[in-house]
Amino acid sequence: MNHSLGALEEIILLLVLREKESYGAELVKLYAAQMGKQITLPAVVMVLKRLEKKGFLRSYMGEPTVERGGGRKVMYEATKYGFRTIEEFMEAKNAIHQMVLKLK
Amino acid sequence: MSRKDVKPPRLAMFILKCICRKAYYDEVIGDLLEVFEWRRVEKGPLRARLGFFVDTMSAIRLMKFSSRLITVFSKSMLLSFFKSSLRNMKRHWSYTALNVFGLAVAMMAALFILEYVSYESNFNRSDKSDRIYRVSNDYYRFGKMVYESSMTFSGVGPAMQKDLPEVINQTRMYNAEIGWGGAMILTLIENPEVNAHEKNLYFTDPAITGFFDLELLHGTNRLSEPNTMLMSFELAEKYFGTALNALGKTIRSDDDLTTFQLEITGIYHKPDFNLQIDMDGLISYVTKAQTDPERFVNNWGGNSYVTFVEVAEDVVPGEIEKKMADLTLKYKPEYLEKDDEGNYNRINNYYLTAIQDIHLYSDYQNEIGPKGDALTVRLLQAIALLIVGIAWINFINLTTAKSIDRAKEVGVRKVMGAKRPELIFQFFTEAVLLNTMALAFSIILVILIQPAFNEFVELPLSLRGVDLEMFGLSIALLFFFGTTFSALYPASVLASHPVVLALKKGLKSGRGIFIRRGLITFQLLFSFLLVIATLTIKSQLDFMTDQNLGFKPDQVLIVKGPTIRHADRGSRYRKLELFKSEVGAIPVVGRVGSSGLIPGIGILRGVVITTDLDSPNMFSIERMVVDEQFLSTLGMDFIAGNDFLSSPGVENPIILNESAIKLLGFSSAQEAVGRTVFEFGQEKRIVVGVIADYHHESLKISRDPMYFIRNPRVNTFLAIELSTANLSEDIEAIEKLYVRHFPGNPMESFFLSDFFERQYAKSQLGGRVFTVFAVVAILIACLGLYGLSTFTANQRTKEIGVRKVLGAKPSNLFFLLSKEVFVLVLIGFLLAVPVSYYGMNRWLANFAYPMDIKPSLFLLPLALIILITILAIGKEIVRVSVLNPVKSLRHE
Repeated sequence: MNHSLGALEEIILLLVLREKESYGAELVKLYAAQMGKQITLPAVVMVLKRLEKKGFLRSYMGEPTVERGGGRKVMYEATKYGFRTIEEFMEAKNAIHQMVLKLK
Repeated sequence: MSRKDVKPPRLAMFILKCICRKAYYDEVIGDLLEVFEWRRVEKGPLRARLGFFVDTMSAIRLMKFSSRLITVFSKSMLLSFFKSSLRNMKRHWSYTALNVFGLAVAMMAALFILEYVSYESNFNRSDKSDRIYRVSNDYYRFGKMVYESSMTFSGVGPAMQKDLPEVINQTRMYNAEIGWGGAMILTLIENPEVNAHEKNLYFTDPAITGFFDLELLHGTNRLSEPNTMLMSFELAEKYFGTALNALGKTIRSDDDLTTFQLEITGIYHKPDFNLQIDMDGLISYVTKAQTDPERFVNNWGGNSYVTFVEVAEDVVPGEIEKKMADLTLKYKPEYLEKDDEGNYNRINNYYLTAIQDIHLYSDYQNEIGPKGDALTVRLLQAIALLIVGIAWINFINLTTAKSIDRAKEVGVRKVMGAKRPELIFQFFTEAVLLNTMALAFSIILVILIQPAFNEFVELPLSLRGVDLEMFGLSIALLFFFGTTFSALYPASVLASHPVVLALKKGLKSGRGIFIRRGLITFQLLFSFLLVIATLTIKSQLDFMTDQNLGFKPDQVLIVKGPTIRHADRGSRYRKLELFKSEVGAIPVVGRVGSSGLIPGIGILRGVVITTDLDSPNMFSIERMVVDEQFLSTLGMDFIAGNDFLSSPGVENPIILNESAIKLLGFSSAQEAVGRTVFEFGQEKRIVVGVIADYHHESLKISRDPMYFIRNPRVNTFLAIELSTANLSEDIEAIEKLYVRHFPGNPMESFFLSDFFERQYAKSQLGGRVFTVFAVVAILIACLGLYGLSTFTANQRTKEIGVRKVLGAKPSNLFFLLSKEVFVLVLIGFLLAVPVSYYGMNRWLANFAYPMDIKPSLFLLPLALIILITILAIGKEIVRVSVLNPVKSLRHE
């Protein structure tokens, strides 16, 4: 199985980790706030599904809420594996980044 | 900003439903709505809607693709099909235009019908509409129906909620002039100049907002407290500029009896669906109830309360209807009285109508709000299907008729190695392209013509109102199958020409000619039916408006009596007298009268009358209260005696109409004058006059026995006889007097003739709608005829050449060529006559005064269609008939 992380996947995974648990609509808002640009919801949903398939996230049904007129939403949280993977990924990235700074 | 703007576009929701993977749909739509709401708050409704569309489109990435389909034809092949289709269309541009135009017009007609059907089916569709019912009742006395009413008594709703476990909640709606529109006056307290008649204000119980999805924008629903009011967004804006400004303010309302100071505790949005009873403002019911508890609380006598009940889940309304008999007897013990045979003397039956069915299925005389008609809606749906079907048939006709031109192309393609499926696909691409163009064109046409069409049918229709949930799938399927079928048939005909034949001399086969004739006959039949229907509706309407009504409504101006009239009775009466005499003094004014009712408004039926107190013979009759000269003001025809004015000395006078004379058994009108009758079976009245029967209501209803009682103080309507050409000036003069004598009351006036003819508005609308579709049908049939004549002319060019050489005249040739078409016209006509005769009879049976069915109703359409046929086929046939024989002989 492909266990690589794309750029968008990385950001979404990080955002989910930061929030402990999250869902599509919230991620759209967070993404806009954090990155300063819009993203369409289906794009987010697709990334979430892909991350779930790769085993970085797991989903469960959330509680019904008022703003959805009593509808449930699908919540996502990171798996241990997802957490570890992003940890390693960030470390590797940081290491490279450090070297960039030093080169300067 | 109405609520429509803040909801996500429904088209987008529908698209989403189609393209999104099923398993993800719930998640995606929930999230999308949340994002939409967030964007709306952050960026406003427009950006939110736009964003919603973008999101929806991008949901295509969540679609499940199967790639098998695409590999059958290579990309370049598809592209080449597309290209050569476009080239072909360009080359035969006039034929392409004709085809696209025919299809587009038909689709446009169908879209308009769809809009109308959606509009008509969208009444009272609130979230809980499957559990909310309107309670209506009738009243039988001695086994005869006295009245039936869409409204019931003030006690019914609360009693049902209290005594029947199935009924969870109830609400009543009342206003002073309910039953024919209603009107109260609202006045700004800070600025009394700002006042107006508000037709749609109701005293009502708090549950109303839940029953009809009235969403509170600001404030709270405090309709359980006295002197509180909820306002619609629009009404609040009208009086206070903005909705927020209105909140917490106090406004004055006046009806016939009382003035109230009302606190505006909430502002609501009207729902997306149409409200059968339009509600601009809701006033707490207790406000009205505490002025006269006897009448407004737990009363079982006066039926002017529209009552809605909410029932528990899975309750069948029939069960509740059955239980109502016992409930009536509990609250109306006097109804326990039975006759000798053990039947109740008086009976109330109650009926529950689901609120979303009221508009199309309920048909009480005193129904509030616009009445719809389920039959018309269904008929129009059928017409829409037929029109589109016929357009596709036409498309097939035209395409196959033109196939000769394409035969060579097919031959060349075949020689070059094209296989049959590829050829079919080539023509198929072309047909799909044409259809898609037609659809796009039809949508443009609809958008362009919409304003005119709306004015024409007097309804606020729009493409956005089309109910995609109900029709989306059927539209898509219809378009898909229609296109496929209409594309495949000509494609397979064209593609199957044998190579050699096709190359050598083009196509010359009679294949499909029989089918084509059949199709055209069918088109003609359909056109005949629509034209005859249009003519019938129009003739019957003319017949009704031309009838002698028995009074002269043209020169009578009706002014509604003052609403604010709760001064003491004496001074109110004096003011009325003064107003009447001052208006009468205006030179152009003839008589001035007043009454409780005017022709065109349903009358109180089932009052009992008798000539002999001791006899058990009671007669059911209609009653109306008028002043001394109302009847003469309207120009009624007295056949015996005179109006009340000429017999001032008589106490308790009464005027009867001719039917009443017969009913009561008087031998003649003259004999009746001076005799005594007993109103309500007890009160003594002396007959002073007899009028000829007049049409009080539309000619759909027969004239019934009536009587008139004198009461000079009656002032619901003032009738003013005007003889002038300078109307607006004189009405202004009257208005000045009105405002002076009845300050605070805006004057409302109309001509009696207009008011009376409003009863025919729905039939007139029906007539106009039929005209539109008749024109469309004829147009399409013309295209079909044109196609056929082109085909025939082409087929027989050589033959005509030979005939010409042998000395045939152009006129002979014209006859020869058009003979075929006229045979079809005649067959269509002969088929249409019995069908339309049957339909006509059925329709005319709805009228108490139907016109006679004249032959001209059939012959005029025949003449019209023959004329149009000549125009449609003439050009092509004349062209061939006058062609130089040298050319025609060289043809092919």
